[in-house]
Amino acid sequence: METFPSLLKQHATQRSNDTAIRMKRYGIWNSYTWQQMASEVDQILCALAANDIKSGDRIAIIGNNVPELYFSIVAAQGLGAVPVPMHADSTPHELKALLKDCDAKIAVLQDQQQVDAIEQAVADLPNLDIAIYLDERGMQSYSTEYFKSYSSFLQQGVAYQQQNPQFASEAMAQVSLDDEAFIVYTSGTSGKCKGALLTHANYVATAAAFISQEEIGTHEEVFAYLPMAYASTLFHVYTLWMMQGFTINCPESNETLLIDMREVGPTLFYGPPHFFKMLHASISSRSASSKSNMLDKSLAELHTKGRSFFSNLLVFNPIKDLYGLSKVTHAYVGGDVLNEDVFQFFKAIGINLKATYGTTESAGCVTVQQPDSANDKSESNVGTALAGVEVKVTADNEIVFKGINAFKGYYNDASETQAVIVDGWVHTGDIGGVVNQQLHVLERSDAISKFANGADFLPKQIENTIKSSPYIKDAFVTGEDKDYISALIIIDGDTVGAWAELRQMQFTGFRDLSTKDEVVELIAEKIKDVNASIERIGGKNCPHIKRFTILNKEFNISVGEMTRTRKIKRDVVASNYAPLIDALYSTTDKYDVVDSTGELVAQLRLQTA
Amino acid sequence: MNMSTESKKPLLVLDDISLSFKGVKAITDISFNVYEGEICSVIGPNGAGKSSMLNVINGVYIPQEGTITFDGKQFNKMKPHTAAVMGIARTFQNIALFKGMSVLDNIMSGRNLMMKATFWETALNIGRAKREEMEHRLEVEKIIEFLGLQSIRKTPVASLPYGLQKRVELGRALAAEPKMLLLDEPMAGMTMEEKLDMSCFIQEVNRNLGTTIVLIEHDMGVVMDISDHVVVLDYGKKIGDGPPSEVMNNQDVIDAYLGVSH
Repeated sequence: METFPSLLKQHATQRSNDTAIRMKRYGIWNSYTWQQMASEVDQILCALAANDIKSGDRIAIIGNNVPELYFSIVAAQGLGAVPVPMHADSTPHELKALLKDCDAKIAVLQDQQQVDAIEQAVADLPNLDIAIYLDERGMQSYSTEYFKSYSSFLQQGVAYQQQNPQFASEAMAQVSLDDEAFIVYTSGTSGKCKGALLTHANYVATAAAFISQEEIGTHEEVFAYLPMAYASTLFHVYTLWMMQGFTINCPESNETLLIDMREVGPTLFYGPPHFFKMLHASISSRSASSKSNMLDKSLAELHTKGRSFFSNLLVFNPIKDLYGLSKVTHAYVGGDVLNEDVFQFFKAIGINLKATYGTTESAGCVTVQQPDSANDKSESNVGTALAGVEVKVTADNEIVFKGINAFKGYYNDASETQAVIVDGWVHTGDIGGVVNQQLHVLERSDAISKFANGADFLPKQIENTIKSSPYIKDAFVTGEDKDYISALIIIDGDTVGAWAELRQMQFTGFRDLSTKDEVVELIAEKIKDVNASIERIGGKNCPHIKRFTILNKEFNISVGEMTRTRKIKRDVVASNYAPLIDALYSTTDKYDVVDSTGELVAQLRLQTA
Repeated sequence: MNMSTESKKPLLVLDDISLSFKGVKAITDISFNVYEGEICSVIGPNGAGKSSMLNVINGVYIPQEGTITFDGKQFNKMKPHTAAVMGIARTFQNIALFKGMSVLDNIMSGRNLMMKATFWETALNIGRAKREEMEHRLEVEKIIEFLGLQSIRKTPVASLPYGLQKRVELGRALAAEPKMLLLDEPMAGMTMEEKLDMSCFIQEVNRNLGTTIVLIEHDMGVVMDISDHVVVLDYGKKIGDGPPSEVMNNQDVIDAYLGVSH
C-alpha cells in the first residue's frame, strides 16, 4: 500500500503523459497530464513550506471541483499536513465554526465568494495566517497582506524549490500510511459538526478492497461534480482516482453540469439519490410531454418479452446518450436510500446501478451491493461489507462496523469519539438489519418514534415512497404519538411546471403552481397510492396519511432545514413548521404563512386525503 | 463616480444638435456632455426624442445642425461604421439578434470589426483565420462567463426567454470592446428579477471594464439608482441635466412627467 503522495509519484513516472484531470474553462476542456500535475503539486508543497506550514498543520480547502484544489490536497498531504475540505457556498458563520474547530493555518479558496466569507470571519480566526485564492477577478480591493493570489503563491513555491530542489520528494517520502490524510466534517442530520480523522491507510485499503471487488479499471472517466467536502467524493472520486490513475473531469459550473456530463460520458459514476431522482423526473417529464409512449411501452415490455434489440436502439440508448450515461459501466448510489421504482428504472434502461453504504467515519464506504443474483430487491438493501470490513447490528438494531475503514476519532473531541467507537466498533446512528449477509438500512436512530397505537414509526420509508413520484421533490411526514400521519410536500417545480404546461394551465411561478387545484389533485392521487399499501411500507399497524399540505417553498439549506447532502434535518423542520404541523392535526383547512413583519406571504391549503 | 462633473473629462460632447424629419422637429438645439467612466441616463416621456438622440450619436440619423465630438474628434456627421470603429457599441429597443444563430455565434458577431483575416482565409479556415477564431472565441467566452450564459452558449437565440435575449444583446455589444455603450431601454418588458440582474450587469460593466454607458430607460427607480448623470428630454428639448438628486427636484422635469399642458 502507498500513501497518496507516493501514488502520485508513481503515476507521474508510469503514465506521465496520460491525462490526470480535465476542467472545462471558457467552453473548452483543458487537461493536465500526471507529469504536469506532479510538478504543480511540488510547487504548491514548496509554497506551503515557504509559508511556514509544517507537518500536522490543517489546511482548509474551500471550493468546487477544480484541478488546483485537488493539487492542493495532494500537496498538503505530501507535506504531512492535513487537508480539510469545506463547501464552496458555506456561510461566513459556518466557515468560522469549521476553521476554528480544525484550527486551520491556511485556506485555499476558489473565488471571491469564499474570500468575502473569510473576510467577515477573519477577526475570530487568529491562527489562520493566510488565504490563497484561485480566481483573481474582483479581488483588487482586498488586503494583499492576508489574501494572496494562487499565481503569486506558486511563484513563492518555485523560488523555494530552486533553493531546496529535493525538498518536495523528501517531504513526500516521510509521509506514512498511518498519518492523517483528511479531516472530514460530518454534514450532521443532528447536532454539531464533527471532524472525522481518517488516515491514508483508511482510504487506500478501503479503496483497494472496493476496486478488486468491483473490478474498477485504470482507464475510467469520472465526472467530479459533487462537492469536495462530501465524504463520498473523497472516496469515489479522489481515492479511486489516485489509486487507479484514470481521468477525472471537472464541470464548468453548476449550471452546465448536465451538458458537461454528456460531453464527458463517464464510465464510473457515483451519485446521491436526489441526483438519480432528478434525472428520472427529467426523463419522465420529457416522455410525458412527447407524443410517443415508446418509453412506457418499452418499460412494460421488459417484464413480458425482455429487452429487445429495438427498444435498446430506439429508446433506452438514446435516453442514456442524452444524459451522458451511455458509457457507464459502474454506477453507484449512496448517501441515502433511493426509492425502489427509480432504482429499477435505471436498471431497466440498462445501467448497472448498485447501492452502497458509507459514512464519513468509514472513509466513505462500508458495503456495496453484490451482482444482481445475490440481491434481494428491497430498496433498503445496500449489499455486503467490503473485504476487511465487518458489519453487524447491535441489540438495539444500530448498524456498527469495524475494520480497515474505521476512522481514528474526531478531531479534538475525545468524548464524542468515545461515544461513537465502543470496543472497536464504530456506531453509525443508523438503524437496520443484516439478512443473509445483506445489510439493510432503515432509518436514523433519532428519527424513530412510535404512533399513538404503539406501532413503530419509521418516517424515511414512507417519505421515500411518496418521493417516488416525479412530481414530488421532497416530503416530510410526522406522526409521533398521533393516530395518523401528516405530510409536508414539496413539488418539483420543473416536472410539475411541464405537466401544467401540457394541460395548458396558467401559472406565474412555483408558489402559484403549488396551490392549483389540479396540482393538489395530482399529489392527492399519489398519497392515495401510498395509503393503499401503507402497512407494507410503514410496517404493521402503520396508520394512513390522512392530512397533507403542499409547501410554498423548498426546504432551505442555509437555515439548516437540510444538510448539504440534501437530507432533511428532522428536528429543525419539525420546529420551523411546528404551527403548521399542529394545524394539520386540527380541523382547519387553511394556514396563513406570514413573514417576520407579520405580512401574509402565502395561504396553504390543508388537505384531507 | 461621485466626482463633480467639472473635474471629469468629457468623452462625448453634443453641441447644439437639431434633427428634423421633413420639417417635423425631433430634436431641437440639444447640448450635453457624457463624461468618461460614467453611467449617463437619457430620460423623458414617450416621443421626447430619446431614441433619436441615440441614433444621432451612433450615426444612424444625421442631424441638420450641430456637431458631435467623440474622444477628442469632431464630426458634423457621424456614420454608423465610424461610430463602431471609434468604439461606440449599442443595443436596440427591439431585440436585433440573429434569431437562428446560437448565443455564442451572436456574441462572436460583435467582434466582426476586429477580425482581419480575408474572405478566403476564413472560408478555408487556415492560417490567420484559425488563429483569430481562437483568440476571439476566448474573449467571447470571457463575456459569456461574465454574463452567466455558459449553460446556453450553444442554444439558438430564438428559443430563449426575452430577458436572456436582452442579456445576449448586451454581450454582443460588449464583444466589440467599446469605449462607450449605448443601451436603448435594456430593461423594457422585463420582470423585476430580470431588471435587477440587468442593472447589476450594467453596473459591473461600468465598474470592472470601465466602459462609459449611455442609457435610455423608463423605469425611474432603476435610473435614479444606477446613474451618475441624468439628461431629461421633453418634446425634443433638453429640460434637465445633472446628478439624479438634482434632476429629481427640477420643476420642469416634474411637470413633464406629470403632464402639464403645453
